[in-house]
Amino acid sequence: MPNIIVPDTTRCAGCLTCMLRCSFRFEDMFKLSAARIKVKKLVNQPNEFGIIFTPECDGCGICVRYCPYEALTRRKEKVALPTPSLIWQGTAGV
Amino acid sequence: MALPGYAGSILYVDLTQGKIKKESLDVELAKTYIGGAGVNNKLACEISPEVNPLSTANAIIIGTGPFNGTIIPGSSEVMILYKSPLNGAFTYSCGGGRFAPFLKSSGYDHVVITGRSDRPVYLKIEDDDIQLHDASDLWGKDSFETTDILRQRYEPCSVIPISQSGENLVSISVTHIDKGGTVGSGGLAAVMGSKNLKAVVAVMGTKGITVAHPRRLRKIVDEVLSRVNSYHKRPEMMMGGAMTMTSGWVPEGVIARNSSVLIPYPQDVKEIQAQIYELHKRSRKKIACITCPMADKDRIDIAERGMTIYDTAIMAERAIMTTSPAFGHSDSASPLDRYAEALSYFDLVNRYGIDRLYSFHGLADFVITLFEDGIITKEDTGMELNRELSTILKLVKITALREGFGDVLADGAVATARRIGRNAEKHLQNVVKGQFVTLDPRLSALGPMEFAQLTYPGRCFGVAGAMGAPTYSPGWPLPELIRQAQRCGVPEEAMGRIFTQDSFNPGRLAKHAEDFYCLFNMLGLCHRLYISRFYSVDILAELYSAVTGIEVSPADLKVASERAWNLWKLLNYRAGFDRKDDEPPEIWFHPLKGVDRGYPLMDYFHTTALTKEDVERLLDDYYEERGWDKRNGIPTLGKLRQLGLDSFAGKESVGDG
Repeated sequence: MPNIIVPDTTRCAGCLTCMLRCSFRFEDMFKLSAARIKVKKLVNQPNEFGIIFTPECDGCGICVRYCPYEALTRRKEKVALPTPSLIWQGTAGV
Repeated sequence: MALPGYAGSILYVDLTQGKIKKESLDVELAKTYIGGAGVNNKLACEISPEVNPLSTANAIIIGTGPFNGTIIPGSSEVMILYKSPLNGAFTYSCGGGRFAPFLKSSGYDHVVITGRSDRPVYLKIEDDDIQLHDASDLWGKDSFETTDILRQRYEPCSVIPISQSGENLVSISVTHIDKGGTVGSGGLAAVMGSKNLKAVVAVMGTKGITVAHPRRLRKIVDEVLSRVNSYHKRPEMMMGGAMTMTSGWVPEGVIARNSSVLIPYPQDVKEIQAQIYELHKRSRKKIACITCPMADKDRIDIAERGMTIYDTAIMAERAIMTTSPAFGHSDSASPLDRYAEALSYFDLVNRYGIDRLYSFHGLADFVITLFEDGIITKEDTGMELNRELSTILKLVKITALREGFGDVLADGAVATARRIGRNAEKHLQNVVKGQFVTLDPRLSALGPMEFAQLTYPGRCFGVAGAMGAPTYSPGWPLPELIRQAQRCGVPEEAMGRIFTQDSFNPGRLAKHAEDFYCLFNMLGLCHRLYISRFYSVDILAELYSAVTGIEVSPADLKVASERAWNLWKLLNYRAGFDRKDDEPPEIWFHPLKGVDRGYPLMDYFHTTALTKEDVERLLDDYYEERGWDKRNGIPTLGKLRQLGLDSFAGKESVGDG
């Protein structure tokens, strides 16, 4: 069963630990631009941050494990669903 | 090939010529001086000590450390060194947000900005695409508006903007990285303004930072994080942020009337404070600097007022300050009104980029006292000066815009007193190196943190807080201080000099607290209490070895830190600073007048009153612990030789011995 990562942007504090951990796992270096999870600052929005995933995200859950703010959860889905990636969660964009 | 942990380049930007140059970061330089504070100092040796801070020859030197850009918790700090227009010192500012790792993601460890653009510009750094963009549409906007506009253009990015105060060359200006991390007490924004530089934007680049031993790094970081997760105050901090640290504590009053009087809070202050803390928790969205598990930056949404404000750390006593007749007096009965009033003050002062903590607060109190005493009148000020919030807000605005009397205030306490004349300078109290003492030892006691406000080169700042809670609040049991000293790497041979059976020497301890603190500035780590408490010099040495592949002992790191501190002191000695600038303010030796008692200067344990001679002896001890010349308070040639810095000694005599 595939895994998906579900963000809760109301909890995100924008520390980018998820991006650093993700790139460290897959690139063996700290490369923010290569992270498969993206956290973005928003302007004039109820939430301070938005979160998306790139299509390469395989739901490994390293970001969930190390998020200090419990803003990410990992769910097993019975059917393959795309990891949410098309919209910035919680907003229409910057 | 860059040293692991480093991006590998220095970016030079000449604003006069519009020239951009990229140079490799010399590996030996990085190994010897280490990171943000270390290499910045070396680069600053190129600036003439006589340079006018607001001239083209002054440089803004931005530096990162080997921990920035990694997963090390709290590795968010960027270091900025410049010659201060407030006092002429080479001063440091460190700030959080995301700037340091984003800069490194484009391949740069340091940026050196000189010259002056002939029109307003902002510097955009994105990999090899370095641009000076026209900023005429941003000129006149406050720092938060500027950040929002640049975010809309470049997010993911990090922004160091200036507001109107920087544009108007206000020496008590400050700014905020990413609307959260204060940076530049000492007038960094004015230096940027003098260069027509509205902002520096680090866009997330495409470069990676490698580390020498990834598995080892992971293991140490996991150990640090497990202690972070079990920190007993963390669950509450997740709601209350920095205010959690002060939520159960109300000082005995607010120091006012030019540092002479302790004005008590109203009797129901504890209740007001508790209500404000609940409001704060309910209204707060936490914001973290990169890699920070504590998220102490505040965004506050007060829906009832349609208000959203950002601040670096709202503390309880600051939020309830509007209840005090000392500063920003409010008769409002409702806690919501009082909290909203406090927030309106923070918001205005932040947006206008005025340094509230080290300059404006004391300065406003100073001129209001002069007004109350009839030394200045409405003819001088153009307005009634009193302690009401509306007056304070007006003073913030006219200072940032240099309007009317604001122009008199804009260059800080010493310049204000000189411009007023009429012996106002003699009335100026509690100032060290042009900034106001923020930790008055008569109210707390003379611990290492209070003492360190005297010896910090270039500013008035009590650095010793990296040594943990016992340095923040004097009176802790001695064994706890000893434990903290051991954590921070005080060598065994020094312990006997610092600690006796039942007491300790805060001057000698301050030296080691400074060295520990300086390591954070070199490596790129946050030194706020709730981050630095998870580190020891042993852990820092382990992390440094894992990141860079250079195996160091804790003692090696301490030597490197001492080297950085000595070179920084030397830079300031060349700029004219020596022991005379470290002297304690006279007011410390006059008891603070409370309602029913005086508050004399006391030792850490509140057992003995201290005289000026006692503090002078502590200064002697501090210099001796540093291996410096006591008479002038500066490094000796012998000490510089020991640290490999003798080539910087120059022709002038550098201390005796």
